Amino acid sequence: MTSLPPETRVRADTRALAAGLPARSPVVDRIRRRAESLAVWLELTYNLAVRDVEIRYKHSLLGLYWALVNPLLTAAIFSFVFTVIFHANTRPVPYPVFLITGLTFWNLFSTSVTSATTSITGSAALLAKLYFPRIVLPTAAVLARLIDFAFSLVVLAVFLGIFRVPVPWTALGVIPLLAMQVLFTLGIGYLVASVNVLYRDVAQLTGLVLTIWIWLTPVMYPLSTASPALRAVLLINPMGALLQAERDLLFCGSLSDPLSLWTAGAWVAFAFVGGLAVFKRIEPLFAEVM
Amino acid sequence: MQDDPLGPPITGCPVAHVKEHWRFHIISPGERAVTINAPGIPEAPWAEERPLGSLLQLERLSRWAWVLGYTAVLSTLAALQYRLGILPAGDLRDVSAIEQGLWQLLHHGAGAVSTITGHPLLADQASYVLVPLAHLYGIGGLGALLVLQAFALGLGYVLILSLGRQIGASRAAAHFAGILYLFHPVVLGAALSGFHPEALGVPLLFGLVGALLAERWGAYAALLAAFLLDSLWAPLAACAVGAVLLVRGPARWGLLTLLLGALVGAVDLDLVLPRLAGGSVPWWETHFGGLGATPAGGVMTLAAHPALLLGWAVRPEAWALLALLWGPVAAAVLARPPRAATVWWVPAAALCEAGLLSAHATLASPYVLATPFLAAVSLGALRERTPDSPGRMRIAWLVLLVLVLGGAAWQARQEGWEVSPRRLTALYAAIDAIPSRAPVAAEGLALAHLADRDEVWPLDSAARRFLPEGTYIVLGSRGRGGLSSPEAARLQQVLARAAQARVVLSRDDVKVYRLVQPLPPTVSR
Repeated sequence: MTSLPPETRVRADTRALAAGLPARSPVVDRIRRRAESLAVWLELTYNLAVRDVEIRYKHSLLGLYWALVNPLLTAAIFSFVFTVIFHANTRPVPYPVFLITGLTFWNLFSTSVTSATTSITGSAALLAKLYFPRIVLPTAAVLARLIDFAFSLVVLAVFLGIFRVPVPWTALGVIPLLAMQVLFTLGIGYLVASVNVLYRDVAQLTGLVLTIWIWLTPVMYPLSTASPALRAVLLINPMGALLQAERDLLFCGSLSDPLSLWTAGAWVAFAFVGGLAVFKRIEPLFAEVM
Repeated sequence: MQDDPLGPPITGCPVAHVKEHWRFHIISPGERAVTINAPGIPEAPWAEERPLGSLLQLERLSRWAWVLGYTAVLSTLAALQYRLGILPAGDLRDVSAIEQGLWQLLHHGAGAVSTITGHPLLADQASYVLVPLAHLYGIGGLGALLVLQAFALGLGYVLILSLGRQIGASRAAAHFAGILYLFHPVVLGAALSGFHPEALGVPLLFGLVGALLAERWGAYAALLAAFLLDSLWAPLAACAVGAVLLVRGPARWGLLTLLLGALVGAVDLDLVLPRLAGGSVPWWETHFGGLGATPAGGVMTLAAHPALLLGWAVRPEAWALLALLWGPVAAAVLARPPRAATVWWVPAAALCEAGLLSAHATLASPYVLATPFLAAVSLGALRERTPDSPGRMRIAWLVLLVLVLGGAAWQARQEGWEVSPRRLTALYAAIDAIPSRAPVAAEGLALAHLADRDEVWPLDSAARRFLPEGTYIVLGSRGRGGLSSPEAARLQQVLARAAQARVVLSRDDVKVYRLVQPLPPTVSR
């Protein structure tokens, strides 16, 4: 660490004394300024996220209740298809509960990524006029979906109550798993948001990829029905491994496959850091392209 | 728009915040963005300060993205191999041995004997690093170890870039050396052939070389001490580094390193291992038993017959191995011819020689510890060179590609395991049919997946011992359904007509028996 030249320190101390404040070391001062700056970043992100939710449900009759209608309707349709037509067996967990758990966590990922994709391109006017850290936009887009997710959790809790599914104390372990999922989502969000600035096809492609991805993730079907070889391949998918672990901790009280959770952890770290790296690489081109 | 200095109204713009004293507003839909640049008004904090320091610096992020991407891909491949049994039988047995050894270490202490190897895990090769790893295994299982191993190997990339800066190599040259290292067949082989504690020594060795170049002797001493706890190959590597330092200086540190390496090696081989393994030294017997019964005897044999040091030269596979090991260095030299020789080839050559002298010359253990030195040789060849012609660089990348493909083919040639999805289903049904703590005799994939218990034996050693009542015996768990040894075949014959065994599961050539009475040895010892 490089320290300030003595004359600078003297000037800083003199200014502090003149202002009637005790002299502070440059390190403490820098930490303080960084903490203040970080607090502003977080405040801006929070405000953008809240505003995102407000805009989305403004002038709608149901408002935030749409966050409940979507998973409920999807769960109803798929429950009918998978239980009545395909006779899916998810015992001891009733299929509707199994499904709505999967949809709750999957929707957090897919809607967040979809929102993040257009978060930069959709704010062209704002970007052209103001300077602020661009990374705040996809971050806010992802975090805004956590508010919808909180509503979906209420629906899940109601379903658990209706079907009298016991929830073990290990359910608390879902919190770190959720943190991992959010980091993974943020990483993918940074990637698609920045690349979408260069190639607008990304917005279309993201929708397609998510449509395929949901079928490669055990959202609607249990992994127990798959052969060991297929199960091993499906669990390469970090979202599949996270979802499986979330269900295990919510319903079974232990992890059925810790091995895949570790590899998923490695993918989460890579997605987050790699997504950030791509974002920072493309960021200087935003102004030029937009 | 030109008439309006503030520009058009922003619609749909998020209202986030209004801070009057900053030089910006984020405003409601329909309002206008206003930029205030009045003198005396402080700028927004992020205009002049990075709140996370250099954490979000592009170069740093890119570096770590390489490491984490490498970790993710290799740990996923290793996990897939373990799940699908796509590993040579020897590697599956090694995985089983280390898993059961860690289980015993965690639950019964350092002296607990592994039922697979017949000696405690620490007696295997004095890898003291396995003591903390046993706790990690207890928390996260094998997955934690595989991810840690891939991360430790991937860290080499960041450390090569750091070494590159230290010796004045350009960023592009250091990046090229880093890629050479990451795709080195030995590094890939170590990550994809089960778990090797030696892999954890690789970043320590990189750190050791870095500390030495920077002449940070405190860090050097700490890293050397940590490295010597890694495995029995570590004292050899330390002695080689000491020899280099003796010649290049500072000789004081060279002598200290040499003596410390020799002391730790001697203490391990003469005191610790014989005490743990009941008088024998399994590591020595496995690798160098042919040279003499004891390390001292081995040294005497080599002194009397120095030609033995080149005994490997008549084996074609040794030359193939050498080509894979040193090929990436050749690629670096091709990219930019070296101005001066670098001394780091000495420890690399010493480790290669030790590996080739071993009775198991294709094991990755000593060679993976040679990779930091090989990377240093590559960096030495690349440093301070102006970029050469694109044609030369293309040839270098082509050589690298050939080496990577050659390494992959070499690795694939050793994969003797073929499990059809149908057979895999039967194998997993057999594994699921066995209670979690019951004694087990198995081999191949079943042995690897059932190793986390007190009593588990490979079929060949199970046939030679008294098996207690309640033991589960899994037959047909090798890839093609064949048995590994005549002992296992004999056990199968006895079980087929024994009254004391009951069939628990029989599916697609996979059979699980449960002993309802104790079974005496089916093969004489």
